[in-house]
Amino acid sequence: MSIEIIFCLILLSFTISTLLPSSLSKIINGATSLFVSAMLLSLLYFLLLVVGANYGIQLFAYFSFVVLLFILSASNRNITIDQVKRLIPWKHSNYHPNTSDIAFLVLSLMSLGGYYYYAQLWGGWDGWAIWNMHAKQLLSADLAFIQNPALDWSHTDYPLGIPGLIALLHKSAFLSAEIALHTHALTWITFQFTMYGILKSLKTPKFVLWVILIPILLNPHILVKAGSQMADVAIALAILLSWSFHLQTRKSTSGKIEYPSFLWLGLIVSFAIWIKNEGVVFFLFFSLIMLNHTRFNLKKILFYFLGASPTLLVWAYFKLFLAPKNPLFNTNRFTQFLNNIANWERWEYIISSVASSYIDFYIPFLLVIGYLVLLIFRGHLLPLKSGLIVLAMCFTAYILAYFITPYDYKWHIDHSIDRLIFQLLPALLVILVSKNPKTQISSDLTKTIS
Amino acid sequence: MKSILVVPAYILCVVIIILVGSRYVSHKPNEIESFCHFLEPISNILDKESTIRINNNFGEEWTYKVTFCLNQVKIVEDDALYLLSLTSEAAASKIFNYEHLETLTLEGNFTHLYKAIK
Repeated sequence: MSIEIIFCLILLSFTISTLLPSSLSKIINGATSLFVSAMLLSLLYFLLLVVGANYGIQLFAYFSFVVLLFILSASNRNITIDQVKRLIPWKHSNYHPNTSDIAFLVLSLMSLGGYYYYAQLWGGWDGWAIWNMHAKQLLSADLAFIQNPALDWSHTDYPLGIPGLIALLHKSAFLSAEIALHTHALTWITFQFTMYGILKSLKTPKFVLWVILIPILLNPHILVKAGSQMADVAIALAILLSWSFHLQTRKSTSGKIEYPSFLWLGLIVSFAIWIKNEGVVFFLFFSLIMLNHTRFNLKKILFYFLGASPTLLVWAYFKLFLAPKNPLFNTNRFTQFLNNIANWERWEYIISSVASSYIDFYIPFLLVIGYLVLLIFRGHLLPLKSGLIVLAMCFTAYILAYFITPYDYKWHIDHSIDRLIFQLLPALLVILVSKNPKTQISSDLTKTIS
Repeated sequence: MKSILVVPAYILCVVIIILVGSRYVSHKPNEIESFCHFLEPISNILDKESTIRINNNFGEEWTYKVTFCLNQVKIVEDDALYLLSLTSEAAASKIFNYEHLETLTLEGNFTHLYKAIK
């Protein structure tokens, strides 16, 4: 039995959780540190495969990385044993789970049970061909598969964040052949806690919180996708965590923006591009809004892109030197795009597919979104406008892909539209309830008085 | 409720769900197996509907129906699409064609396929 990689992941998560901004709630801190650690290890694993490092050297690199971060953390914050103890939830003297916490834990267990009930061992087509097969190739330390034209059908241009993580955890051999399944289950649990953590920290009214949480964690269609398509939950988590982190660090407790929080934000948002190609769209639009949010403050922008740089560099290397071109962009399709955009039949099919996806799979969410919009109009909730803009731009970009697709567009839409909706749905629900008008008014009053 | 009990109890339940869940999933009929091989030589299955048997890592056996003809493999069930794409890289590039799921041509690649089968 070898558990060194899992041990390394836990150590790294603990270290990162001490480095994250103090304004984060405990749950978001935990989810963020686990997500960041997993993705950092995945990036490191890819880099070590590129240089041909053997497993021994890899282990040395992972643990050295953890030790370096720990030294950095300790030198910055003067860590004491008590602080480390406080990171363990049940050791925290102030932690008394209330009814909501316990209800959430029960819901989380039901959702996890649902995940395994619907899951397929090797995933559905995408889950198997793209994520788990690539993981299997990475496991044999073979990057040549990326450039093998005979394997184009498995979309070798897709980024390797999730396959890297699966392959890496597979090194902990006692988890055996079901590791892909459990890796995605871990993503699903992290997703659940992030959803609950952010809604709770935003002081969402209890009824609204459960109206959002129950359908998203128990929707059979989402559970089927979580257990078969695999990476859609991971990208939804990356988008959700980016917003959760941003919402909690916009202002620190002192009311000032901390520069390192931009560094972390850049890092978290950039992981989206290492998970799925759609992540590039999110990174691009989120960064644009962030430029506006910082009011073009050079120092903040610098911190943001410094945080994003490790992922961007690895991704750029992968895309420029290893991966084949994405079929959407490997030929000049501009004329075809113009023809397609003028084709009403295609528009009609896209609109009817979006509508039927909501009706067939996400009907509870139509009701939830309708209810939240009603609360917004009545002044009980305030959405984050920049969040709505980013998600609208992402969705528009997703739809535009159907006008340049080299595949049969009906086939392409039928097989992806519901998943694209899911990628943005959790973040949309959180953004719709992201500001509580009551706390907003009180903070505005405080500012006016001071 | 005592906080000291809640988190460990939750973790214990998660571990139980994972253990039971992974047993359940691994025994479910599965459309894709990454570690598989054909058991029958090709000469026995030419020109007739055949059942391909594969073994997975757990010693279980799944079956798929396909028809092998000379220079051609007809997919009877969509599931076989995945199976064949695993056995031959050359075949895989031709098999993954969305418009012709019912009948697919391997263009005389039987030597390669034969080796894969054997």
